[in-house]
Amino acid sequence: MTDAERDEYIRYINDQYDLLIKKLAVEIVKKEEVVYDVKQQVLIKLTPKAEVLKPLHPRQVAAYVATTTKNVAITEYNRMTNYETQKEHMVENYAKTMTMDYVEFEAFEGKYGFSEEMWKLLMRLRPVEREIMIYAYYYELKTEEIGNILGTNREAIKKRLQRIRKKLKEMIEEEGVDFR
Amino acid sequence: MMHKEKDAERMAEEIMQAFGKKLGEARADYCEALMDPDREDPPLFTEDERLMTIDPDLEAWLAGFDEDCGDGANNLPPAAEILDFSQWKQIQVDKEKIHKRRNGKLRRVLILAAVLILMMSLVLAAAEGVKLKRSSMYMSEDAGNSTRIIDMDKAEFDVEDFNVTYVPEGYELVEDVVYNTFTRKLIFAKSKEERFQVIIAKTDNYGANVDNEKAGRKEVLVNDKQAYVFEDSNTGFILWQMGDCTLDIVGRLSEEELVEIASHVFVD
Repeated sequence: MTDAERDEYIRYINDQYDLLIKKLAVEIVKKEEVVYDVKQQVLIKLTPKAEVLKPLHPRQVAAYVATTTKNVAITEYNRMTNYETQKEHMVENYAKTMTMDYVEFEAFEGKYGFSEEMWKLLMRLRPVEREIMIYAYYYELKTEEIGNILGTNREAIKKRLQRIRKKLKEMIEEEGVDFR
Repeated sequence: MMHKEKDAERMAEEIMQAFGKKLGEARADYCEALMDPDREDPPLFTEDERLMTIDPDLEAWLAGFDEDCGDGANNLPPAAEILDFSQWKQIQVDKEKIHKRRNGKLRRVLILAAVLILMMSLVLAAAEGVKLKRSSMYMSEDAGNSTRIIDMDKAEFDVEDFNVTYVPEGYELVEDVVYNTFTRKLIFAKSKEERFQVIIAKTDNYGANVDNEKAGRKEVLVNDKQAYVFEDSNTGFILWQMGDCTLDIVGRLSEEELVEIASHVFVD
């Protein structure tokens, strides 16, 4: 991808996902005046990923833009707020799940021998593990491509996935699921 | 058994695939809802009772949070990323590791800085210019063209250590006598009448008679050290100290000549 193509693609993201970035940013940072800064940072972070993002479906790109926005906005929120405010926010929200990271248990009920414990385990995955799950199974990217996006190597990605798989396997064995 | 294990692994993989896809779809749906001006914006957080199991230790842990973090407000994890207490704990563990790594780096940097400062101090302390500044050191030139530093307040010399490296034109050393270890006399002469002598003596043993009524006293500097010149119509006399010795020059010389000769008396 040439620099001109990259610039053009980032302009497209800027236009296409403007509302998404702004709305999500303002929800997290709570201050409209810093939304523009967040958006600039998001676009800067997306620029080197343009080549990976361009072939993806627009819904997938939207999900990626949302993740980047969330991360940038949280960083900005923590930078702006003091310790007491952050603690207050944490106490208020510690048990909540961000809607963008939430999957209803009912969506799986009755399938794959999926139990509530397994669902809880998956819902409580660490943010980076959640992203890997999305890249691997929703974007269907190769481990090497995921590694490039997350700034690590394919072995690290494989290990993370193996760890989740192993935990699930243990649960399946413990629960004595009746294999079909 | 093996069959069951493989089945469990396959099942785990299927669950992960299904969950990853659903999670991606849920995120995309959320984004679409945000981008659609006709739809109501979904809330930032979802509250699912099943995921809100409160860790009994949480309250106590939060109470001790201030103490744990000290003034480290920035050590807090990103609040909106916290799904539950256990995850936060994990984030804390990670942060602690990073903190330790940073501390290790900081310690190394501080040690390096301390070593550098020490080395620079040694270099500075060794620099002659600094010695000169640091105390009442005295810089003087040798008979050669080299420069040396002498602490004139503390130096202990032998009278034999001194050299007179300049005399006015035509004068020659005609006598150099060390009377004892405390006094030395050097006589320079151009002719029978034109001569001067330099006395170098340990200050404790030095004595000189100067007629204050006839000779006017003047304060001058010999290599930046205080000296006195006494002059009458015939004779000039200069007196100054170097270390633990007192020196004088007496003869038919002008003040300028006396100071010039005195300024060229150096220690070996």
